[in-house]
Amino acid sequence: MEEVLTIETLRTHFYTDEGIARAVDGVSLSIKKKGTLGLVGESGCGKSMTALSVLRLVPTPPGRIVAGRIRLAGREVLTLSEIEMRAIRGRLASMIFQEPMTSLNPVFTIGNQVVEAVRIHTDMGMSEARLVALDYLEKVGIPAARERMDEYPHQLSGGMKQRVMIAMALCLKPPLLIADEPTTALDVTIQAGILRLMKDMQEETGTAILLITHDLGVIAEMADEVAVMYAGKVVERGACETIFSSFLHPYTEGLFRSLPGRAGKGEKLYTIAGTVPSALHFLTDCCRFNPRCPLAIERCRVEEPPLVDVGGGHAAACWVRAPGGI
Amino acid sequence: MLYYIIRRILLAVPTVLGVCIVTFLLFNVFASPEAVARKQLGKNPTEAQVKVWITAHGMDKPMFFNLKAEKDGRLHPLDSRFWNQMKELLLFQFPESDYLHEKVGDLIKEKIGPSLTITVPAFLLSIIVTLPLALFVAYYRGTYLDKMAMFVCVILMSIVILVYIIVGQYLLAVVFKYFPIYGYEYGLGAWKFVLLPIILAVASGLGGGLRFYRTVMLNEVRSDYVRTAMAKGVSEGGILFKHVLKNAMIPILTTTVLSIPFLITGSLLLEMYFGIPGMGNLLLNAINNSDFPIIRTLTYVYSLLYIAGSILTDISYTLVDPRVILE
Amino acid sequence: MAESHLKIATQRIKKDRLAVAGFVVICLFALVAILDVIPVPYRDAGGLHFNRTVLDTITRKPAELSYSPPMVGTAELNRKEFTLKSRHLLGTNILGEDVLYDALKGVRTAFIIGIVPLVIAAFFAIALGLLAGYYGGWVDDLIQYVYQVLSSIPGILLLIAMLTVMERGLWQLCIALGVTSWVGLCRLIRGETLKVRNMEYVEAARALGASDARLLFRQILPNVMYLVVIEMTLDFSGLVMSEAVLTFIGVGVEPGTGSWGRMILSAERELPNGIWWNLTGASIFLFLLVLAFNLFADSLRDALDPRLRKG
Repeated sequence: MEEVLTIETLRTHFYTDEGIARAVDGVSLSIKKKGTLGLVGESGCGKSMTALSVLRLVPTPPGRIVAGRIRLAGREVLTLSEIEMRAIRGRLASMIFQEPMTSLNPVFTIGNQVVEAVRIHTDMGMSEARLVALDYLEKVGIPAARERMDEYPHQLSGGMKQRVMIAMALCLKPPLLIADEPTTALDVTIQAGILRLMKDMQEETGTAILLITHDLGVIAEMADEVAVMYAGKVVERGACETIFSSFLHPYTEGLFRSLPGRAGKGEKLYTIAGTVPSALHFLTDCCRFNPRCPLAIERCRVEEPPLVDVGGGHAAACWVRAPGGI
Repeated sequence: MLYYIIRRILLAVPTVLGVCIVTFLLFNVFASPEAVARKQLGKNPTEAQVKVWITAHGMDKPMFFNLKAEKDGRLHPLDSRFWNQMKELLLFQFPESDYLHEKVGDLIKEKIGPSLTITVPAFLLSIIVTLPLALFVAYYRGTYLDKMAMFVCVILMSIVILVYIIVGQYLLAVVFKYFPIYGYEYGLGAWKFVLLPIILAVASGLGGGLRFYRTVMLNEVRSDYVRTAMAKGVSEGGILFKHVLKNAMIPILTTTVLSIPFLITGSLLLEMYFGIPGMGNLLLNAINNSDFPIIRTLTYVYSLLYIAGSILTDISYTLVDPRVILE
Repeated sequence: MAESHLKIATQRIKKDRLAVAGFVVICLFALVAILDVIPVPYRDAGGLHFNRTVLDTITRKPAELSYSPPMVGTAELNRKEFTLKSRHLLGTNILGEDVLYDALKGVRTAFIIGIVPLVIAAFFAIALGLLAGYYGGWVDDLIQYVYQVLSSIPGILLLIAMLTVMERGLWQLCIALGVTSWVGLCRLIRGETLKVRNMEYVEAARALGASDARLLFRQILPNVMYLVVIEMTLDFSGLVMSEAVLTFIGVGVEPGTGSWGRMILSAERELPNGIWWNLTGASIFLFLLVLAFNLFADSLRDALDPRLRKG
């Protein structure tokens, strides 16, 4: 099956006054057509920057994509000109963001904004584009869509706004949808609805999804495959069931053990020792997780473990749990 | 909408009264009538002349309440300086100028025209010049061009307006003789006299204005909805001219609309320097002549203008920002 | 709040070369102002006099008979003196007075005008802003009414009104400027006090039994001070420029006070005669000080901006 997105050793660095922040430092992953890849990790691990790199939306004065390849629907993203990129954004890959409250322009109607997405990439006239917009607004479940099209974002709730974002992102049926923490800013009661909507729309439009989140529950709901990131690198990847049932990397283990449900009654909640490092100070020539790892051996402190395939598409980067490397 | 305006005007009444009280205190409590009379009467007036002047101007009446009976035995408790002056202002029956011996109301009517011939074109020209420049600089934000432009703005802002006017007039009117130096003509001939003042007015405000507009726009460029628009594939031009501009208009409008009522007050310096007989000139002469009725009246009038300006600004908000509802 | 944020702010400012240059220029000007404050007593036939300062001793030259352009040698001083000292570096005005000396004398006035009104304004603004923000209720309403009335009167008119009523003079000007400019800062401080009042550390202190005054001074005030500092540096240049303008239209400092406004006023009259150097001298001094403050104040404001404060 062909892959919609292939990222090979992507490095995105930020050049700041305080030094170089290597936010994305050698990330490789791929997403199959119509598949869903969940990208998991704590804040600061580089998952959002990976997503922004795919569409080359990284803020470029401090940031820069310095190495790697990104192949999106057959196009080599890193070799394209800005004009070619603009033709891709919204058309071959769309993105929705975490804060629906501020992600829509407050002075234009929601109909106007969806229509804009349509008309940038097609030759449709105003009325035709409005029909498409209306169609998708109805599909994402906006009640009385025809009237609400002429309303302004502040007149909608957070959940409704996120639905509008999804409509905007999918109305041109892009092969890939990148969703950066789409439900994190929403009420828990609304989250499930949005996720279900995304799954339904995925069926409808045949879009693959790159879903970024720190919430393992969301992963469980949505993802076929999972990649776990830590300190700018992918430390484990595999099929969703495999990761959930037989995780290997100590960091992944830590994430699962920290879930409140795992602790028995009266037991202390588990936390991973130490704190997440800042991208300015990532360790080199060793396993980046080793200061916090309960299993660390001498080798972990001196040599960086590669991602090793342990069978069935499951891979982990750990000298102790997946030693099969050179 | 009308209801809102009426409500705002009613709410402004206590403030207006406060303004009247403050100006009254300033002009009547801190300066004695004798001193004012002497200033007005020129060289060494006699005691009698001073007394006559004081009575004629009503300055011999008590400050707040008149509890002395009149000759015919009746009491006029409100025949005091405070209430007389309040009556003048609140009923728009403006007094007569001490020095010019004309009613201030008439003076205002005469002088508004010339002031407007400078302030209105300067206002419009400013916007026409600064807005596109700001968009241009915002397009090239972060580049060397942007940094240079901002540095130039700071330099322009650091030059006192006096220097703009003095040097501008000297070089352009006296040395190069492109413009007439001084004077005014009523009617259509005014344009040649106001052209240089307008240019200088726009030039002196350019630095600050450009910086402000640019700051407002860059603020918008950093927002989330711009990121969404970029993710949709909107071009850089589309982002600036469509998305950013409409949002940037909100703060820009506040400052711009607020200054509209002040187009009437005229620029003190420009009118003084170029001999334009406008409101600014009126005020300036009043200062030099210690002409209190004029200064008092103008202070009151300008405060009304400020209040009108802030009501206008709030109304204009609703026209541009769909989130705002008039309460 | 203070120490670590101050350190971060200083680091940030150091990186902005223009701001550093501005700061150096400000220091140079400040040095001149200080020299003009230290008296050098001298004795003559009339007794002991204190009206001469260090600056006078260094740079004062006797007046010439009439005007002269820059770099012309003085007829009065002994040629054996240090060459620079024997020339009028910036020329003389129509009365023969040395332009450079006049310009230097204006520095002290500029600093007074730039600082004193703001100290006065800060006093009112902090007191009223803290009270309004902290106590709320009728105190807040009353204070808001007061500054609404004051801000409805256009500043320049209030200024002119006050100055027409008082005598003209440098200190009267400072008072008038101070009284007319506290409103903006007061609004800011009130807003910030409202925000800070509800923060947890204030609640915590209150729970430990701190009195209102203690809360105001030790918890809230330090967190509001950065606004005052920013405002003071930003407004300095505006005040110095307004002295020039106000003196020019006739409501500024009285004649005899050394100020750039007075220099420009008299220089302007000499311009038609082709005497351009005194206007240039005064304008350049004014421009340099204002520019230096603008550059430095911008950088300071960015450095102290809480939104830019990162961990």
